[in-house]
Amino acid sequence: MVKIDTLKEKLIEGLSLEDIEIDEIEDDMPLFGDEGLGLDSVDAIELTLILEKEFGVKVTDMANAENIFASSSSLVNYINEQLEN
Amino acid sequence: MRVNVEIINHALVHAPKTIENLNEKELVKKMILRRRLSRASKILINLAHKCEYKTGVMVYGSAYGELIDTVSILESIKNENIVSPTAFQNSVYNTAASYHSIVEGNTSEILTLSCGDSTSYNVMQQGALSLLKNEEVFVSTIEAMNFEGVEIFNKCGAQLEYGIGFSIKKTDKEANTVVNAKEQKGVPASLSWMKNLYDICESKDSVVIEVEL
Amino acid sequence: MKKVYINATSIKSACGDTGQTFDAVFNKKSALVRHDNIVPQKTVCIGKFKEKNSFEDLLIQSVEEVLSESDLEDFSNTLLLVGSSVGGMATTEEVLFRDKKYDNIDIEKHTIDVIASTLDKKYNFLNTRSFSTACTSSANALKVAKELINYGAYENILVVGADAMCMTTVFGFSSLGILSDEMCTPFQNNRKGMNVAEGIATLLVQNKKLENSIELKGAGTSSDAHHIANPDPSAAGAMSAIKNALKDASLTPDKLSYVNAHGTGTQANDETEAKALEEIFGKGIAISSSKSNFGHTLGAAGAIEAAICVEILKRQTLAPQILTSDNEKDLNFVENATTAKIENVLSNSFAFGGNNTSLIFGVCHES
Repeated sequence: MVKIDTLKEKLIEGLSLEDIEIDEIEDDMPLFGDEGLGLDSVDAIELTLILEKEFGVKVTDMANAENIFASSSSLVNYINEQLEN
Repeated sequence: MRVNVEIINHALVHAPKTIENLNEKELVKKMILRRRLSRASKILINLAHKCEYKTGVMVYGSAYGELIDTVSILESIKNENIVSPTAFQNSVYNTAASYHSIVEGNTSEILTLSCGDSTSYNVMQQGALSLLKNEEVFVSTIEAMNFEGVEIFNKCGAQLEYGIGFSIKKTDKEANTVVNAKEQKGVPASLSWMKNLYDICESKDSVVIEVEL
Repeated sequence: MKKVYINATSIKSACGDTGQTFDAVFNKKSALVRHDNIVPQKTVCIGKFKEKNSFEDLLIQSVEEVLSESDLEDFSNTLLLVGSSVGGMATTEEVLFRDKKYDNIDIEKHTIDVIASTLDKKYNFLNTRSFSTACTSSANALKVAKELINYGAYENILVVGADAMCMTTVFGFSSLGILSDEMCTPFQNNRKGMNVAEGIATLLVQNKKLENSIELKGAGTSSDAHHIANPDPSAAGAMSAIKNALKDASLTPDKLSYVNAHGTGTQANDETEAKALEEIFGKGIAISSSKSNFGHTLGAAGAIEAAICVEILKRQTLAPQILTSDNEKDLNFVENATTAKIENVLSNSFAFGGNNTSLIFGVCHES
C-alpha cells in the first residue's frame, strides 16, 4: 500500500517542485491546469516515468489518463489498484 | 558596413562553480515555471532584469549550450535509462532565450548564436544588424558548464558559470572606444570580447562602439 | 534596399542528393525507414542518409556542388551562415558510446561551431556565423542572410543548414511521445508524430540577379512566449511570423500560390499551423509538407525546404504531399505534382521555445 504522502514526496522530487511542502498539495487538488498545481503535458509523461521507477506501476490505460492523473488521491488509488492485481 | 552602437545598460555575473543570488524567486514568481529553468535561463533572466530589458528583440549566444541537460541525456542513453522529456526540451541552444520570452511574455524576434570562441562578438554583430529595424536590442552571452566531469574539458580553468549582457541602441554619435577579444584569465573564451566591452563600460560613462555587420 | 536572390542550391537528405530529393518530393516517394533496434521496446521511423560517406564529406560535397553551380571562383568574398540544432553531437555520441567515458571527447568537435569551422578551413570564407534555434536554425540563417544583403553589408552569403542523425534527438523526441513508428502524415486525421531525420542543404544568396535566380522576397519571425516545447494553440505566434513575412515582402495573402508547411506530423504543430494558414489564406491555398519524403531534418529543415521552394518556382510545379487520409480542416493539400502559374510561395518553420520563422520566395520580374 502506497501512502499518499509518499506519492506527494515523489511528485515534489521527480517534478522538481520547489518551495512546496507535502501538506500544501491537497489530496483532491487538481494536478493539471491553472486552477490547481499547474502541471503540463510534459509533466504527464514524467509522471508515467515516476510511477514506473518509484512504484513499479505501468500506466496502460492512457485513454483514462486524465482521470488517473486528476489529483494525488486519484493517482494513489490507481497505483494501489495496480499493485493489488 | 558599420553600425554605431551605444551601450545603454550592462550587466555581468559569474562564479567559479555556481552563481549565488540570481534572485530567481523574485524574478520568476510562478514556481511551476521557475522549477523548469536551466542555469543559463536563470542567468539570462537575471542579466536582462539588471539591464531593465523585458520585451523586444533579443540576441543570445552560447558556445556550449545547455551542457547539464545534454550530459544528462547522454548518460541516460549510455546507461540504458529512459531519457527525461524535460531534459530534452531544455537541451536546445535557444532554451535560455525561450524561457526569458515565456517569463516576460516577449513575442519579438529572438535569435540564438553559437560560434565557438567568437560567440560574444558575433552576438553583438547580430545585435547591431537588428538595431537597423529596432530601437533597442538586448545582447548576451552565457556559458553554464557546471556538470559532473567538466574538469576533463576545462583545461584553461575558466569559471564554470559566466554571463554578460548589454541593452544597446543605434546612434549617430562617433565611436569613442575600440574593443578587442583579448582573453582574460577565468573568462570563457567565447565571452572574452564582451568581457572587454564590459570592463570599458565600468570605467566610462558613455560607450559608443563601431560594429562591423 | 537591395533585392535578394537564391542562385544555387544543393541538398543531401534521406532521399539522396539534390536530384534524388527533388524526384522523391515531386513523385511522392518516401525514404523514411522503420527501426526496431534503436529505442528499446519501440519502433521508430527515421530518415538516415543512404550514402556511406562521413557527414563531413557530405557537407563538403554539398558546398562544392553549389560552388560549381555558382558564378564564383571561390568563397573568399562570401559570408558563411550556418543553421544547426545539434552541431557535432553525433561525433560526441560516437566517442562516448564507444568508450563509455568522456575523456576522448573533443569539446571543439561537439559544438554548433564545428560545421562552420570545418567549412572555413577548406574554403576560407570572409567570415562565419552559426545560429542554433532548434527547428528554425537554418530558416533564421536565411532571414539574416536576406537582411545583410538588403542593407548591402555583403554581396554573397552561403547559407548551410545541417543536422546529423543522433541518438539524443531520436531518444529525446521519443521520450516526448511524438516520434512516430511510421512515415509521418502531416495534417491528416491519422497522424501519429514526426520522423527525426538528418539533412544538409546549401544555398547561395546574392545581391546579383542571374538568369535562373529565384528571389527571397520576405522573411518574418515571432516568438510564442507560451511553452518550451508545445506551440501556442491559439496560433498567434505562427500567424505573426507569416504576417511579418508578408509585410516584409509587401505582398498580400492572395499573391501567394503555395505553402511548404512546417507540417511535422505531430498533433500540436499541425493543428496550430493549419489554424494559422486557414486564418490567413482561407481554405484555397495549395499546401504540402515535404517531411513525409525525407523526415524532419531539425536545424536543416529551413534550408532544405527553402531549396524545395526554389525548385517549385523554377519548375512552376506544385509539390505534392503523400496523402493517406483526410485532413481535419479540409484544407487544399496537393495530391499530385501540378503545373501552375506560381508567383510566390511561403515556407514555414516552427521550433522548440516557440520560435517561428516564415520565408517567402518568388519569381523575379524586373530586368
